[in-house]
Amino acid sequence: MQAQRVPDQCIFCAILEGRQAAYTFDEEEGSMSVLDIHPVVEGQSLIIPGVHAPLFLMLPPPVVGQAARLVQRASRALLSVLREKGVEGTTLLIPLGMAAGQRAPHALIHLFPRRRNDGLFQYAREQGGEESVYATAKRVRETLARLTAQHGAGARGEGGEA
Amino acid sequence: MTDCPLCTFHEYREAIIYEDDAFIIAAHPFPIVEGELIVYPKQHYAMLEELPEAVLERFFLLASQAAMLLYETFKPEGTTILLENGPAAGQFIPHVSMSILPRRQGDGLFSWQPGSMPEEQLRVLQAALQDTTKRLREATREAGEPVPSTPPSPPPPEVGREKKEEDEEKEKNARKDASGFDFARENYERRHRIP
Repeated sequence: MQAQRVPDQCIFCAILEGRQAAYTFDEEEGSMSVLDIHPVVEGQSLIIPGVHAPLFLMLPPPVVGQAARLVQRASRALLSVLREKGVEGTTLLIPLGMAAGQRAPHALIHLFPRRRNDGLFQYAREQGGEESVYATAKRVRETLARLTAQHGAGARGEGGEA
Repeated sequence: MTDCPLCTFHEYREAIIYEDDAFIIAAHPFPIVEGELIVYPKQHYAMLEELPEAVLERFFLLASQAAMLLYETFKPEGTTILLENGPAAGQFIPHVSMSILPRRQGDGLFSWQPGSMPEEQLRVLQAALQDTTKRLREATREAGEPVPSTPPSPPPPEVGREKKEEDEEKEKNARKDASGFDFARENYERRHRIP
């Protein structure tokens, strides 16, 4: 799992390897939770997957599992430690690509402690029109069918992941 | 839970994209942007903190695969995986889920300006979080599964507790699924601009 890091270039790989100081508070088989040193809210944290991948969806499944366990523990800990300061929830964001706000070349999970009406992220959810929701589902189902068929025909080895 | 909209959402078959015995991927019924997907466990858990470990890991893996499906379908400039954990975080359905959003440059969603914090304050917080996560790790190890923090007494997590072997099998299958999508990853990297 450790060979895929990119030494000297990626600051998050440097943190994982202890070459760069960080406010680390949890670890899981090489993946880490650290405090963001430029937080917009107190307790804003980063979960750093232990393998260098530019996009979250390129991480090997075992590393995704490590990240998931770290996220859950970090969220619990933030809710517990910051409860007295009014924190009642957490927002998890994983940006993929610069258009989504990804700033680092190392896939990261951002975790924000949330207070009621803190105004941190502004957006509205509205009930989707039936036609539009069904149309989205239909197109993605077609993609899934196409990828599944290609995979079946492509004869890629099973479990070649880990 | 009968009055939970997600517990019954799979009845809207036309909205469902993928279903197995524990998870659903669907078009989001309350999208922030058109094309948004939702991933959720079928069993009712209100918050992230309640998920047993096997369910938790599979959840994140499926979210990652849903991001791949979204990309392959709509070719957005970017993608955001979002989890609103608790009403203070905008969660309005009391059933844990992740949203997968297609993103465009300059769409103004989910941006934040880097702030700052005195080192001393960071150090104090780090120490408190180290203590708490250490306790949680130890509690998990002793109990063999996560300890619920503040859930309104959920039903016994049947998946995590009684079906360990099945879960392991499921996890294995999930990994196969993931490797099955491998070929598409190259496309994704090429076309998705990364920093």
